[in-house]
Amino acid sequence: MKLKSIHIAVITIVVIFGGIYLSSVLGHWNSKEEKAPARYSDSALSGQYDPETIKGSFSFGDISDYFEIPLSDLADAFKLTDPATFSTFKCKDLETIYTFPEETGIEIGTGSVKLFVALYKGLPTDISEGDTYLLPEAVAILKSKADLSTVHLEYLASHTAILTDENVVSGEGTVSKESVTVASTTGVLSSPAVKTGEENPYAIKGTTTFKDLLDWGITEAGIESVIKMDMPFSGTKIKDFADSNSLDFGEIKIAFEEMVKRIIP
Amino acid sequence: MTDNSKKAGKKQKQWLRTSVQIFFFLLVAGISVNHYLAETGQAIPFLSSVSLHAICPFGGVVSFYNYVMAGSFIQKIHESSFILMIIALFSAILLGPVICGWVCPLGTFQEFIGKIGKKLFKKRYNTFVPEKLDKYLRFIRYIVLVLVVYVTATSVKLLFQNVDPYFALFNFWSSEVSVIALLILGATIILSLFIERPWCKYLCPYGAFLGITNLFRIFKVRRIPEKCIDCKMCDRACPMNIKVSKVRAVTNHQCITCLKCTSEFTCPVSDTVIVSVKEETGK
Repeated sequence: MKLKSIHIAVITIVVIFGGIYLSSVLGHWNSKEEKAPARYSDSALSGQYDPETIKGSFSFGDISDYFEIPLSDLADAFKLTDPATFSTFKCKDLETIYTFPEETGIEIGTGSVKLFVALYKGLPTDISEGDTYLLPEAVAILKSKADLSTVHLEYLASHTAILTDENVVSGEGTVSKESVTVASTTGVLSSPAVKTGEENPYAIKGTTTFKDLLDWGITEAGIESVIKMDMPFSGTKIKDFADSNSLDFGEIKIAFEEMVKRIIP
Repeated sequence: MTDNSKKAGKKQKQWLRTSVQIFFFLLVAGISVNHYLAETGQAIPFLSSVSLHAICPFGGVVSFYNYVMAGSFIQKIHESSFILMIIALFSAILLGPVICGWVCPLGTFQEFIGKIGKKLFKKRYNTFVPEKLDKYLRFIRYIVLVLVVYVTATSVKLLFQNVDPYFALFNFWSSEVSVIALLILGATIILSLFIERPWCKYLCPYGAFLGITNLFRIFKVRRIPEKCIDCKMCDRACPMNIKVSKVRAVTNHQCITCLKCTSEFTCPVSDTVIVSVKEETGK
């Protein structure tokens, strides 16, 4: 059987696009990064999405869909003004809009979104480190729509970031600049350790692997002391490992982050 | 059929491969641009906006070890890369590295630059590298393949992106592209003026991977010695400098199934250099 160029052309195109179509029908053609947050694995909250797994690449539209929070509440909480951009606005872009003096240690970013969503939905959130801030608008929305505990109210009272002209970096139409004097009573300036305003490169995220921990200086023995079993293949994501071994990702995340802090101050 | 119509027929058919190449080049370029437009909410409708990694079959190759060991893909690699890896491998077992010769946009890009080189250097084009040196240099791409797979497996990161001219070509406007990758792309462009498909010949790890299928592919480029007039036109036509006139079946790892050597395009004797399953005779 001989082939000519027309046969080669047809076979090539049919195999490529036919293969893509077939894999798509079978549900194996996934070409985009997973935009769904992970769900809780423990039985009490099983099935619900975990705000802690929100990534910087998630848009407000994604978060509104998954957590069933009105898009307008998210936009108002973070002072977005252009409705055309509410849905596509990414969490990580908050840090490019809002900057605070380095000595304050304040940043408004993905962590703020996680906190807002957790409090709004009444889901667990870790505020022990005290390094996440919200805008006054977000706090107002939470007070009116969420069921906040005394602990949460006290935390928000001292972790509200007030905007001044200097804080708002961009006047690109998505945020309105305000001339508001910094209020000392909110405790804005009494923040903990100085931050550079950049995301912590050693934070344990959904994509962090055991190899990352080893690279950061944690030993295999140290890892095994936390997970209480043999360390798997180093390329395994910690979150995947926790989920498949019924471990609490939140707990081992905190344990590993503490270990990293001791190694890399 | 007269000699003139035979020549005219061959010219028309050459456009078929070029058309397929242009189609895939524009498709990949469009998707790459749309990926960035999508981030500003201005994506072109009906055109995919996935990242280049999602439509690159080599992503599946480099991530394979991590997938087997950890059950997950390395960063930036998606399931679609695996599917394309399988599709490309299937087509390669059938037809050889047809992905290289008909689909790969970087290969197409180098060929386009090569046309300038042909105009400049005419018959000297693609003959600058001494044959004795060239035959050893052709195996460097296997070293690159092993290195890339090893480094990816041990680092669990897509470090190849930092040197990949293919990624640089379709993302040169973004901050994701490293300076090294841009320099390699620049070098590839310059070398393409002197050598046909220099990246493919000497450095492409994916070409190396697919090139192995030339040893056992089902449809091979075959020459029928009984009909061959030994004019060596097939050798001159081959972009990969394969000596087609010396073999009955092309199993050279560098063949990209471009069909330039065949009777359909270059060989002046009909049905003498063909693509077939079985060995043919002149009878």
